[in-house]
Amino acid sequence: MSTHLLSLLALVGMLACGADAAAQNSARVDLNGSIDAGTCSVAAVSKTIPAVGANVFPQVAGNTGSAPASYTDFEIALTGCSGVTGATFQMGAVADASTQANVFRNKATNGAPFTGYWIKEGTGRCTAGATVAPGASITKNFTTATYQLYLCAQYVKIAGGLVTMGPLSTNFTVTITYR
Amino acid sequence: MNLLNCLPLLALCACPLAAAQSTVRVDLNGSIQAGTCTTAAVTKTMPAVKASAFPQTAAGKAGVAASYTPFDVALTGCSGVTGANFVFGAAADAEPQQTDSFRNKATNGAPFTAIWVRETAACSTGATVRPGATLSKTFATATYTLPMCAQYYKFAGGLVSMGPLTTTFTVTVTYR
Repeated sequence: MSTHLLSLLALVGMLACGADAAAQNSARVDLNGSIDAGTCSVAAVSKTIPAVGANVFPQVAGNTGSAPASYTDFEIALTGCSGVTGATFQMGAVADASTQANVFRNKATNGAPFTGYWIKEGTGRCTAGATVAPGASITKNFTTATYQLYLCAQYVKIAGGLVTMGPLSTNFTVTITYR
Repeated sequence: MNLLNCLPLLALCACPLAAAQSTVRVDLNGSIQAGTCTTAAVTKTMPAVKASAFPQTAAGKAGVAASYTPFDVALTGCSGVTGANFVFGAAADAEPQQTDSFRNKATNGAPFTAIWVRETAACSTGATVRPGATLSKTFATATYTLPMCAQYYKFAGGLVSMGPLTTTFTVTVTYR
């Protein structure tokens, strides 16, 4: 709407200029514009990952390791993507990372120490997907009006100490830019 | 005049540059539970003592040094455990006449006897562990040993005479 209003104003301005010019002059008319990418509908994601025992993690302070028992698939599901040929998904921000930059921080109050979320992308999910670091961008092409970004989350131990019991929680905002 | 015409057109050109965007929030929740340890059952045979080692009055009550038998509740492989609560049997394991001692469960057992358990490596000292009592301990390593000691005990009501002594109880360990 705001674009249309600006267009009108511009045309009015041009007509006013033309009226001031001499009658024998020709008036050039330039009209410009563009089509924006369409958008999709997107649904928020909320997942509870299965609880695991602290003993499944490496028992050495400096080691890292994940917990296969916590593998949890989820999707960012886009629907109604008319006029969209693709999108770039920005997965949270660097500020969402733990001390290990490719791990999403455990934001729970009094959370289980030395834990975070390792998120992977792709149909290979948690076993064979590509790591999604906080703040990373993923570019995808769409061929239909719906698109699902396949993701998987798992608990991971980060270096620095031993894992003991406690809650885990993280949240981040995915910013989707369409084209 | 031409310059004026151009300015509004430039403004129009800038407008379509804003990309279409949407955002979606992702929430992930979960929890880590305490790890566990490996425990081993404890079986101990306590030395036989004579009935004469006990107080010789019906109302008398005392333990017997000759029966002191140390044992350990030993935990190993305590990965991811910062501590535990040990519950020593249940109130039903107690001698009704002496509720801080474990009941002699032997058939035709030595009368007026029970087993007194203390938290110690040497029975002469240490806090009494009553049936059903809870001990809370903090672990600093992946193994933990809770030293205990058992001894025969005469409770009030009559004289001790010969017979077997036995008791059993279950220690329930809750990790954190």
